[in-house]
Amino acid sequence: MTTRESVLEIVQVTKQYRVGSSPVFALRGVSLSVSRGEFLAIAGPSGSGKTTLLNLVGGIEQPSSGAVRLNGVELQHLSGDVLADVRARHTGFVFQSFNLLPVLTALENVEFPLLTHRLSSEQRRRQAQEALDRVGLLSHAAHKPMELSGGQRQRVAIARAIVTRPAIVLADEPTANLDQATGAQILQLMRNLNRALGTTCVFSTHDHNILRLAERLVHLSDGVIVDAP
Amino acid sequence: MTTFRLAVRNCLRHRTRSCITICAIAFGCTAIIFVGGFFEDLLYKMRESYIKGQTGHLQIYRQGFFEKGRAAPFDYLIEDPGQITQLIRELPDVASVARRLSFSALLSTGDTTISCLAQGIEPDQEPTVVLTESDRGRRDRPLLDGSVIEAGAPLQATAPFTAVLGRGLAGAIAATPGTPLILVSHTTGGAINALDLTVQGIFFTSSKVFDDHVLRLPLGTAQQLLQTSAVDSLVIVLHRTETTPRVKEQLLRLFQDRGLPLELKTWEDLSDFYVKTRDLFGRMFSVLKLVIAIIVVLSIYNTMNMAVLERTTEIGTMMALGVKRRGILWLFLCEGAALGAMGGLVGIGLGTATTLGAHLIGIPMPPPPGATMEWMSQPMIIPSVLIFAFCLSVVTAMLSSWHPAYRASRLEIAEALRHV
Repeated sequence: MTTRESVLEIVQVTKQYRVGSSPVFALRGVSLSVSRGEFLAIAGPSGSGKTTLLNLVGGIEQPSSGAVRLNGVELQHLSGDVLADVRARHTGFVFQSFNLLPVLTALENVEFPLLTHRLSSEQRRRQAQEALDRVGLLSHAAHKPMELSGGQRQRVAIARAIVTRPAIVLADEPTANLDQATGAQILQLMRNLNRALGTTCVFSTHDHNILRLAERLVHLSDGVIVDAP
Repeated sequence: MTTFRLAVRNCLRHRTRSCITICAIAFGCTAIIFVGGFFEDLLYKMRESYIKGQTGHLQIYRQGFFEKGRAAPFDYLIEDPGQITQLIRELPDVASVARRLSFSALLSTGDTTISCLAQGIEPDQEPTVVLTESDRGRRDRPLLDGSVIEAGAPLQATAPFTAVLGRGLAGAIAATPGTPLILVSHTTGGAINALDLTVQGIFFTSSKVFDDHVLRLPLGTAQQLLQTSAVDSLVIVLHRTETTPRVKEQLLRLFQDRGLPLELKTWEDLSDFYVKTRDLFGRMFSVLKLVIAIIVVLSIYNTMNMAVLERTTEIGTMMALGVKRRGILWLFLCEGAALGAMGGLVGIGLGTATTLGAHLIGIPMPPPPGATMEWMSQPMIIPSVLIFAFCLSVVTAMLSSWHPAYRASRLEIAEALRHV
């Protein structure tokens, strides 16, 4: 067994919100380490803190305390612009509702994250085509999201997430809006890409049928990891 | 995919809403282009009719005439105008130079006596047109070429003891062409002198006050009545009104170089009514622009606010994918600018078509203040107004997009992604 390099370190992270005048803890002292190339599932019921944890890892939110280190970068003290750069370079996102930009074609949606990178338009186009090809939708490159099925949209979203060759892909309940068979196909696709590209994937779900695909499983309950190995 | 292209596509996704916004902007532009063209036409006709019918482009007087000449006009006559007249005629922009001798007089038909302002003029140097049958329905058109003879014939240097009377003055003494008149005035030496004249014609200009008081007779006859060979002014008409400032500079230099004790007034100095009317219309036009700018601001603000609200999740997604806050701000500003530009372009097309149509058909208008003739408005297409209308559309659209764009750029990503 080889020891893999850690791409994500979460140390004693708490996240507190205020609801009215009362504090509500979404995460309470969570610590987690994710190795490069790992395919990790975060499971737990609604409200357990899965989305909050992914948001902290993705630099979308800042922890109330503790540290998040992604690809060697401490996220908790960074400014908004620097965090945007970190997201653009180190992170890929897959959302539950696909979140494709409706005015762009499938290819343009995949190309979109590359706009913040210093690439020529030809390079951008080539990388986007390559990513779309990897999810098997190059033939649908000119289609708008409205012209695609739910599964196809999520494939485009996955292509968009991997197009920048990020250190980690974060998928927040990527199968929740899909039927079971399509959801399983999507997860299998992510697993295949994880193996082929070595991209670290962390996804959240409460669908036990797809958890079997995960390389490692972390259970969250009430903002606490209950059975991290 | 540039930000601006994305912005244009976003504008087109809610076609009905964008269309209504674009129409609001386009109608605003059309109003500016049409009203601007209407005012310009009115001011152009007023200006040219004043210049050709009364003031010329420039008038030259002896130094001090305007300051002190009103009390003793004969002390400020130009004694030998021939040389300076010749020098002025050599300037390339000058169309004509007319010598004038104006004085107060009493005019009598035998039964009725009335005071008037008499002008000795050189008939062949003063712009005069004779009203033809084809002009009857369009009395404003010949006014652009000079004072208009509506009855009888124009003055002729070969018929020295004739006069043309302003329409109001002729009406006051019931004079018609052929009516004998007696003109009485002081000579420059202070004695009383009189002349027998025959009415040659009746004229009108764009100014009712002028037409009510002025009689014109050949310069030589006026000099004979006043027993002088001098004139009080030289009236210069140029080929183009726009060259007035340049010619003014040339003349002032000429006076200085030759040590001539002369002073000079432009048509603007002499047309107080026109200048005030222009300023008034300028203010009115500014108010219209402001009203239209407010309409554009409100319509774009509403559209952009709706867009931010509807696209909150999309904004969150874009920021999650690495777009910075200023990128979101710029995207929505571009959307506002795109709407403004589309509205501006449609407005330019619509405004140009409307103005051109009105120009070709003409809009019958009642007499303006201080005038007696009806006129035909033919709104003009003014390139600077077209550019202004377009810029106003784009700039106000961007300004009104600022607040929605700023709000969009300040959204919390996690909250935006949770937005339903």
